[in-house]
Amino acid sequence: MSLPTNTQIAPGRQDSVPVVLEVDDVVQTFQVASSHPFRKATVSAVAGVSLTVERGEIVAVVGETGSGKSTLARAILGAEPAKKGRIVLHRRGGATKKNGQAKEEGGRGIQMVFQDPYAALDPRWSVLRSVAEPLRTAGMTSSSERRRRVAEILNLVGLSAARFADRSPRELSGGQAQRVAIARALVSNPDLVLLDEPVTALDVSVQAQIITLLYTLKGRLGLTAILIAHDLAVVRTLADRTAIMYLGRLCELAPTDDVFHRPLHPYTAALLTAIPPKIGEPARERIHLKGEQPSPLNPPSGCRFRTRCPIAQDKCAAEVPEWREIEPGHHVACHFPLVDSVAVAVAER
Amino acid sequence: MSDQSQPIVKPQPIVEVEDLWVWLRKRGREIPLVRGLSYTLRPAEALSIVGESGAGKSIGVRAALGLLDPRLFRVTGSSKLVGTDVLALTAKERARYVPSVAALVFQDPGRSLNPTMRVGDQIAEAFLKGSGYEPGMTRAKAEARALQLMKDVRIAAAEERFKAYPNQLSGGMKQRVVIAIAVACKPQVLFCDEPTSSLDVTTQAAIMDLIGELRDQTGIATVTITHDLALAASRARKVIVMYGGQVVEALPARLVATESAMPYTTALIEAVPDIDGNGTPPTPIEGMPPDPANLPSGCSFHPRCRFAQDDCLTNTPELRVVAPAHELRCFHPVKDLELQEASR
Amino acid sequence: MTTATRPLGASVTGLSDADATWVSGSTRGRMVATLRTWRRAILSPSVAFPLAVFLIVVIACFAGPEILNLPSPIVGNLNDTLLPPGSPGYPLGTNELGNDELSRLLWGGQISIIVGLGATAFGLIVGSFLGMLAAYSGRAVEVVIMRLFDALLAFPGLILALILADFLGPNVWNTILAIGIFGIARFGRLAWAQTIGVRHRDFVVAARSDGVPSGSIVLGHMVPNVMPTLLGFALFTVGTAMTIEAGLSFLGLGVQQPQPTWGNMIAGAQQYMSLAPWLLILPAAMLVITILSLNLVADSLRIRLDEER
Repeated sequence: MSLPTNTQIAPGRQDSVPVVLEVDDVVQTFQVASSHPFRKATVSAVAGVSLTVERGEIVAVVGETGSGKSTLARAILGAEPAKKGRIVLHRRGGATKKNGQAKEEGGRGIQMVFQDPYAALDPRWSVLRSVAEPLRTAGMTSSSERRRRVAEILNLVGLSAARFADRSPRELSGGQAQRVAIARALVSNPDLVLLDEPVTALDVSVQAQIITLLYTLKGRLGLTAILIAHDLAVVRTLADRTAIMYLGRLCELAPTDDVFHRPLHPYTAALLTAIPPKIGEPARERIHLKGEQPSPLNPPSGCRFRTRCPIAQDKCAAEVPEWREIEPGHHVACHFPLVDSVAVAVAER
Repeated sequence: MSDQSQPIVKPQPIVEVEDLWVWLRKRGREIPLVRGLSYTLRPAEALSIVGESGAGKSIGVRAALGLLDPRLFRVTGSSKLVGTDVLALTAKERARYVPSVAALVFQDPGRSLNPTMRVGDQIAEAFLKGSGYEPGMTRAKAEARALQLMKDVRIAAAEERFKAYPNQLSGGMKQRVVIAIAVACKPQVLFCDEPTSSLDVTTQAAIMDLIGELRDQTGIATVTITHDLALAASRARKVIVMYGGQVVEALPARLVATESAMPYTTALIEAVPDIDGNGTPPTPIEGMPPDPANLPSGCSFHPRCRFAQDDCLTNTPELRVVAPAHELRCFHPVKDLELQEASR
Repeated sequence: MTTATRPLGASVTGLSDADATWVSGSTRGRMVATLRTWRRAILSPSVAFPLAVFLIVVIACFAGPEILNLPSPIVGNLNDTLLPPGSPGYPLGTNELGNDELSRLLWGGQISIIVGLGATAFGLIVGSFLGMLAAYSGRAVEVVIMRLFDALLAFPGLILALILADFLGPNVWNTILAIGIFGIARFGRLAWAQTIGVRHRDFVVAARSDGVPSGSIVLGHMVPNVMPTLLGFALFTVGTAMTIEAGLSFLGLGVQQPQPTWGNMIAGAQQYMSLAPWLLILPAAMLVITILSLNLVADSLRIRLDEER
């Protein structure tokens, strides 16, 4: 087991550089019991992921079960520090925070919104107490100041403090609870918010409410966030840029419009065509994936997607595809990106 | 059941649910969860029941199959499966009859499977002990059939997977095994309760493909419960939209985009994020689904309805036929409002 | 610190009147609501009735001898041995040494109740501290504590208490200790399991990544979420502890004669069972009533509080 490779403090950046988060070649592995009685197996959950998030930008990380997106989120949060690589948060005011060190002064640079809002709120705490917790930690000792601030933030997420602040989580609907969780994440003005599947557990009509709320907050606060999702549809309206992840590696990273209209990676294209068509439109021309996702215990050689890829060649098994910037801002890790006729066919659907 | 031997011109309905009501008994009160649900299904038909949590769609299906505990729920109405009203049967008769004609697939495949048993054996058990039993069935024959069934539901490397335990399979694989068990007894109707909600997008599409193939090949009728109107409209022939325990609109799936007129249905369409669009956010439906213990007066949807007028608060709309195969529970359908706007 | 206190900039709109009033209020409303929930639960008949029975027993045992001006339970009159209940001057009769049975029953109840509550409190406090420590610290500490619990659980409880009682010598405090140690492993394992469950909940993950100090997380999130289960279990344990006390006294390893406890009264009565059955029946009945009422309180309270939620 290797320790985090870098322990030096990164030089503070100037405020003019708008990068908030740098994720550089992050690797996360876990030891699990294996069929061999005395040996443990290594799960390669995240295998060298790099991305940056700029101030005021929402970057989506989309992947299916086992893609490593949640592991990546936990590494960024610092809940489970990465085994290798650099995660640097450039805080407002020039301070930097490395590899998720939580305890340094003012460690509240990153806040998280979880998938299940009821699990994210202590069932025995009132809304007021939960939302005010980060303020207490930040040293806001005056209770009246905290109440004022909680009232403001609850208003911002569309809840009246007078009606909701003294409730306990079980007196809230799913949508209201998720609004409270968002309020808690925003109350201390974090540099970055991790939105981990924020609408997956909610009803359709409520999903749209939360998406719209986040969209409004993005406009009003210049919200900087990483949005984790398994569903491309949710990402469409919120994300400025979208990264697609498969089996621990990034496949593609591009402005969201490009991902939807000109996917370059065959996996991205397959994900897009799997979404049910817009109501009233004919079914999409599907790209069928072969077989099942391989186990992260024993990932395929070369390109990790090759075992399911409809256009895989011998080269894909032999060489790990390079992370290339094919067009400005459009990165892809594929030996045979869909730049030619295939891309056109997919785009036209 | 004897109907089947009679010569028939139009296929007899497989499912006829008539005015089904379900009440939850709670602390001496009876809370209405399903209020007068009716639908008919013929062979090879695909019906989708759409609604949010608490709309009564899952409870309605469980009631129709006679699966609800009578100590907790009171059920009235009738639910004929292949001509026999299962609600009129005794519990014992029902336990024998229902599995022979209908099967139910749940949302979470992990919970439907026995974690301590190999999946192949679980499928084979349906032939040995379940209602798929036939005289002269042996272990070897049952296993051969189970293996064939695993191939039928497109489980790759079926011979290998036959000996696997559920935890060694992915979510999509497990759901395929559950479907294999469900269709092992050759039921005439397959009820799927959110069959793909816990699965990934690509897996969801593949499972829905599989259900469609089974329908085409075996003529089984399917009822799919989902909260996703887009999925329902793209995969079913007929769509029923439920709200607050009632059917608020029922129409052919291909007409959902153009003809749906109940404000709840149109609002649901607008609430789905548009991935082909330019990134404008979906239009949410404000407010929350109603509490069955405390239903609003008049139309259950009026507190959230953009078009609600005074009569929606005081009068309760009935389900009425507005066009062939199109039923609606609304005083002021969206289409009428548009016509009024246009004529002005 | 400046980050947190910085206003939300242009985004903040003025608060509504209702919200402004709320801001100038206090959190008392919430506490009142919680107290009201508890009061409703306790006053419901299925809780209130057994609770009243238990309280009557407790008050009778602790205040009864004083109020009724009962004779001492140990200075008997050897001329009045084995009198049946209803005898003049001895409403519940006397024992083989001529001690007043009512006085013995109430004094004995004091010891039984003190031992029951004391041993439970000891097990609860030590056990839940160790269990939560194990769950929160993990690694070596957890292994050591959990193996200690396993070792304690591997001993048959009564035998363990017997050995301890024998080793420590018979008196009230040693009995509490002997029975309490028996409870540590049970409370400990329960606290451990509950804490593990809470520890990985998202709200703890969030608090920890915020940099909330460990002490605050334990006191603020873990203890309140773990304690209700432990306290519910403790109510059941009081009865068990009283039974074990009776068993120890019965075997002569608990509190010694002539100081009465319900346990040693039962033990002493068995030789006179045919002559004076009330000597056996009275303390046994008191033991059953007390334990049953406590268990009913525990069970009904849990159901009521669940329903309130």
